[in-house]
Amino acid sequence: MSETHAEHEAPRSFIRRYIFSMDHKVIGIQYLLAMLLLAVVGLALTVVMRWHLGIRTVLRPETYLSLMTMHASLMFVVVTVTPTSAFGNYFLPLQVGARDMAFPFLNMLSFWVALAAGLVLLSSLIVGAPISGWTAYPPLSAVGGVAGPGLGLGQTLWLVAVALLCVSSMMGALNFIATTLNLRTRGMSMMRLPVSVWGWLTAAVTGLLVFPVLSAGGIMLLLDRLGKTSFFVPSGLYLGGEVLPHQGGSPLLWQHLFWFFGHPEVYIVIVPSMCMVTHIMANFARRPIFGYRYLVLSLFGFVTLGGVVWGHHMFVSGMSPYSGLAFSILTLFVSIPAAIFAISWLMTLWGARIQFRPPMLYCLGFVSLFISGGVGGLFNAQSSLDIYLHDTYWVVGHLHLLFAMAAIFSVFAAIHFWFPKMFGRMMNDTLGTIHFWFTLVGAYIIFLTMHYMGFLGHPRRYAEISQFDFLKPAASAHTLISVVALITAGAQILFLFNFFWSLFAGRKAATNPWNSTSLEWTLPNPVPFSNFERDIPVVHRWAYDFELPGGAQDYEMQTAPGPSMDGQTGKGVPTEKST
Amino acid sequence: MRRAVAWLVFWLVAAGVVAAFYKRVLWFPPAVSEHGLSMDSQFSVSFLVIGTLFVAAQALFGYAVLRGRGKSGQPPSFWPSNPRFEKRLILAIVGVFSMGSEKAWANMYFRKPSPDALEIELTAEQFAWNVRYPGADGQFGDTAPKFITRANPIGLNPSSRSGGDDLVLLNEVRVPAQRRVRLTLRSKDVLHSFWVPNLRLKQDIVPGLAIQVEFLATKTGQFEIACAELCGLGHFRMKGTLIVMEAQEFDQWLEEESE
Repeated sequence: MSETHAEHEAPRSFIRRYIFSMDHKVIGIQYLLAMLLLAVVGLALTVVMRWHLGIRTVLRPETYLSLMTMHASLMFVVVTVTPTSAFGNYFLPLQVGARDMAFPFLNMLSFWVALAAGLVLLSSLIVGAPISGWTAYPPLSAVGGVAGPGLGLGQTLWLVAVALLCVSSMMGALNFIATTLNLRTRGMSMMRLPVSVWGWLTAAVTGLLVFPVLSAGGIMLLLDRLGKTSFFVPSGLYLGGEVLPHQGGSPLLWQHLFWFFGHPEVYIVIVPSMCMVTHIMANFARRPIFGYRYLVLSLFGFVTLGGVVWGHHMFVSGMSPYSGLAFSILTLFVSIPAAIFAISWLMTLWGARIQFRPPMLYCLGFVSLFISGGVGGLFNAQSSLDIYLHDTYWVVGHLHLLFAMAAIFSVFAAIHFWFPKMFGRMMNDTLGTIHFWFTLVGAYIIFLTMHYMGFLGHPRRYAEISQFDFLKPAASAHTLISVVALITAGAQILFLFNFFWSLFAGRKAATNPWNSTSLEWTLPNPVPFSNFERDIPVVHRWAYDFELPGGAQDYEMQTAPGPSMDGQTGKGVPTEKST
Repeated sequence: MRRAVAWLVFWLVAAGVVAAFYKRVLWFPPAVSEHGLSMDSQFSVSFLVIGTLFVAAQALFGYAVLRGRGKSGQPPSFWPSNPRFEKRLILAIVGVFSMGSEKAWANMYFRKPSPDALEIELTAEQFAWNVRYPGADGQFGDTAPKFITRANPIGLNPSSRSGGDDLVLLNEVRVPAQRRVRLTLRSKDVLHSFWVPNLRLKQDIVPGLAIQVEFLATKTGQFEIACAELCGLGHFRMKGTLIVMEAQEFDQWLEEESE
């Protein structure tokens, strides 16, 4: 309930207003555009790699590995940053009824550090990107150029970018948590928050727990490279014709630190994605979210379980098989919170009068991809089966279905849904629908085929498959994937065109074009500098009062007084709640 | 019309997947190890259960989307969810999977080292496999990185007493069928991973550690060894060959080589 932001006038100069801005809305758009740029570069790398793998061998093996590393790293940044830092930045303060983030200066700093991280990462592409993959396992990543091309300066820059990203994410996370807990408007109890806010909050809490671990690991690896320490490098390595001076480090230590971050990282990406999808889906199903309380509880489940399952990335790493057993069983339990979400989506959709606009299509695509990726996870969660599947294309397909495709679908949904509020114009529905179908079908063909290649035992990160007889049958699969990938990548032009064309020439949007309920839709276009021009409104209900019986309209804004269905989902029984 | 097209696509895809499974397009290479068979049966159970779950979930979801005809303001008369059933289903799946899977895991890892296993040491390097048999004395000679030369790729200590009869080969692992083999996996430089799809065996190789795994090959033949952990620019061509021979033939070969 802070009024700090309101007491200041909007800055006049262009630079303070649009470049070094402390306005959460401008920062959100800055994040979105920066991530769009990185995503386009990452996609361009895909095109080159797929051309090489499936159509004609054009790259040297080390170049292939560099491009692969950069593709993964760039896309990793994109999916980590976009759901929370772009959309959360713009809409969290609006949805909780605040005039800005709790710490606007920190927010600005967080963006510029993230941008620096992105630029350093891109510069590593220019000086020769590392070939050690996005997981950067030492000793390959720790001993410098003697282990291979790109492992000198390129790897150092890569690590600097990782450290910067950690710093930026920690600052962002602090801001999200403080804003959600302290700046909610009157009546906005925690159990009345839009689910999207819960998602951003969960991501921030998780991020604050695990980004420090990655940054510590990253700095240790930098010290191994530059300071002659031996955190991750064991004694007696023989590389480049000589014995290296390092002594007594453990390569497995990096894997533990990395995955202690890396698994919760998946939830930092997918939980806000799931929550944005839940929020948007209720709007187009015109139905209250089913089981709101259970969704919130299962978010706690994700955070808790997310912290104790990192070892499932390491079943065959040489870790104790007893740990493998424990990690495997714990991992299977992740299916419980995931199933709660899936059941909630199903029940929300059941019998609903669905409006098939593009934001909803992307949400439905998300759910389908989430189910596919989720049940696939039941295979590699089993340690015994993972002996076979680990480090094969199965894993590549699995992670792309969830971590990449599902996450990106939620971003597409969010862009289409919130575009009118961010830019005051509507995106084109037809282009959106065509783009949706191309991308969904493409994603399924590409990544299900990769699952299949995993059955063959096809190891990932192979620059060519010509050396092995058992990979011969994979050649045609590679060609199929490449052709479909090129078409799907081409289809992204539809999206980019739609985005930029609508920015300038889209139909002017009404204040609340989707008949939505949360606070951002009470605000005029463009949203004023201090968000709520006079007083911040009081909230009387949760954000999912759709299908109210007896009403003239089928929804109520959160600001509307009167009886609410607050959390009484699926029953259709309104209850009186005082504010 | 729209619904008909959607169902048509659904069934076509389903038929395609079933046909692909049936015709074994891109299928597992045949298993040739003892633990591989129990892994394969766990795979079959998983396919059945997860496949059913997958189809049921997608179909239910698709039905909910396409049906889309509720009365505004009225909850549907029938809900497709029964929390008690779902809770039990999930717990059952978790239970069955963890038991079956961990049994296969335990078969592989939680067993005492067999006293009569054939000892072989594998030392991986960028981008080759050095294979060592202990020779007649059954003892490996000690090694150290400082002794590594082109002629002595694993750094065998020249003054080691038990090392004199060690047999060192490149990229070729010969083992007898129907006898337990204990591999000791070492690396000279970076991470590698010993991966033989037919054996259903994958084990990362960590420099600084000597990781031991056991297997029993059930069929003779030649099988490819691939590296499954990114180890540098030649990762894709780090190839070895596993040759499983009849026990007699193997003994004969070892004798000849050792001379």
